[in-house]
Amino acid sequence: MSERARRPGLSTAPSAATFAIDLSDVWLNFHLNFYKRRVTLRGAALSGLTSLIAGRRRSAGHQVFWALRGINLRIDHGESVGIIGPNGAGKSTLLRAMAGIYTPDKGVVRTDGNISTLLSLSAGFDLRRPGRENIFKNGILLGMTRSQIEERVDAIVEMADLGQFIDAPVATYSAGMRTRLGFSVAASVDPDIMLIDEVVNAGDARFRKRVGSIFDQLAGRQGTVVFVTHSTNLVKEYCSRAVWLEEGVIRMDGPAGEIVDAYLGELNGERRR
Amino acid sequence: MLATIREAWLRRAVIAHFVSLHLTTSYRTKALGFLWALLDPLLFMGVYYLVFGYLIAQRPPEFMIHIFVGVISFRFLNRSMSQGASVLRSQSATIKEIKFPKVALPFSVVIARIFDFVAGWIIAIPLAFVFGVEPNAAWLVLPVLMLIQAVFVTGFTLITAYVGVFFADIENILDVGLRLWFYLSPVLYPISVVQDKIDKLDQPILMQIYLLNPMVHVLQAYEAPVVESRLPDASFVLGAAVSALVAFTLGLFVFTRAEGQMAKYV
Repeated sequence: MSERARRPGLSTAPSAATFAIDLSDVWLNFHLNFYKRRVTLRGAALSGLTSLIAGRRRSAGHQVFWALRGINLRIDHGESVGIIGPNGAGKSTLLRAMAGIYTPDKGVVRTDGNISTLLSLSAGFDLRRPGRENIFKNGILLGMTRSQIEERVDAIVEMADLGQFIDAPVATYSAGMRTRLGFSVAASVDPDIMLIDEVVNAGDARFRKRVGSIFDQLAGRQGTVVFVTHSTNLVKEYCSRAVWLEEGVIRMDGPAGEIVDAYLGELNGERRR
Repeated sequence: MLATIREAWLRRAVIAHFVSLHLTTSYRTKALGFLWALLDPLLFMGVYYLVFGYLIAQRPPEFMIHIFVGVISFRFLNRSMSQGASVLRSQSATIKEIKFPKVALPFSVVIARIFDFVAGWIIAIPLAFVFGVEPNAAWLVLPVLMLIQAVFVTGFTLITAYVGVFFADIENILDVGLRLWFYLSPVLYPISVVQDKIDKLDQPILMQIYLLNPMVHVLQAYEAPVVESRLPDASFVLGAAVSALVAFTLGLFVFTRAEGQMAKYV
């Protein structure tokens, strides 16, 4: 991973690297035991002891779920890519791996340029605090300085179309309002790469139009967009390319229209059967 | 590991954000606000004075300042470690949303707790006068000792923050463990009590074992300037510094190694 990719900063123009995001043979797992029941130190000590006596390295019932299984994907500067697939296909995991939030258990993720993320409806906001404070919170975490945010805060509020609500706690916002705020902060970083997970749908038509123009601007300066969605219309509208993910493997990858048609074709085929 | 430190430094705005978050939750939400940082040590000193000055033992006044310094130092360790154990889980939504150096979280906990610690020392100065100890030139060594302890506390907080991501019962274990650690350190009794007991048993090895507790060194280093108006023994300062460096290096090592897995399980 390049130095710049590890340290999101501002206005680092894409360099000479030929790709924006490059995943080679990426595998990523979740140890289900950490979710099923809370793992305790007591339990770990006991099972460690038993497996020591029994001479096994790993206690039985240790379950591992592979969410990504050998992903090879290269996305160039200026591309906008939609990721589609059924629930549980690994779409969100893939996006988090690209963002560097999840480190792959096998394989390499390389990125070029600074990354901005909007991965959930809550956008990591502190719901009890007002919108304005959350702009600063997310802005700082995304790599902006306080003074940079101060310069941009009016533009962010304007773009999110929140008016007086900006000083009300985020808990009082509707899903659409949260999405607009999250997206506006994420876009204000002037990212080279934007990773967005299934949230644009929550905005209204007016906001979707703005999203479209932000994506166009981004593409105009060779920026990259990757977004996950169940709305195949949005993929056709915004993306030049689509990736169809299923059970942690890339099923198809190609021009957006073609892939969406194939995906919908199979869904309809299943329905008819 | 050096890269982790460098990254934390470059992203110090993130650390500052979390420090102000911790301080807000500790103080701003309360009626008396930041005054609590000063009131809190005064109140618990009142309790210790009642117990050790009147009820169970009539200790001399300068012993009170020994207790006070011991308690604020231990509270610094205690609160950092227990808050560190839950800090990653408490920020789980943010961790899953945006990539940032996670080491900023335990660091911010320690910095916020340094604030309380320094407030405690501000109270210690008038209190020393009250208990008949005059602050003197030897007190100038205190900031150095506090810095050593801060490094020490950071190391242990990194460890609890790391363990806290993966193991749910850490808070219970920590609660008992820290209490035991507190009573095994010379806070509510002077170290001479331990020395006397061991002399009677005629087993000098026991004192070596007692001195394995790094907090003994930290507390004894504070003790000399504060209670006896002299510079601390080099051996205690060295013991504190070495354990601080070992704890910090170990803490940073285990935390950095697991950092990539943390987002999955918080």
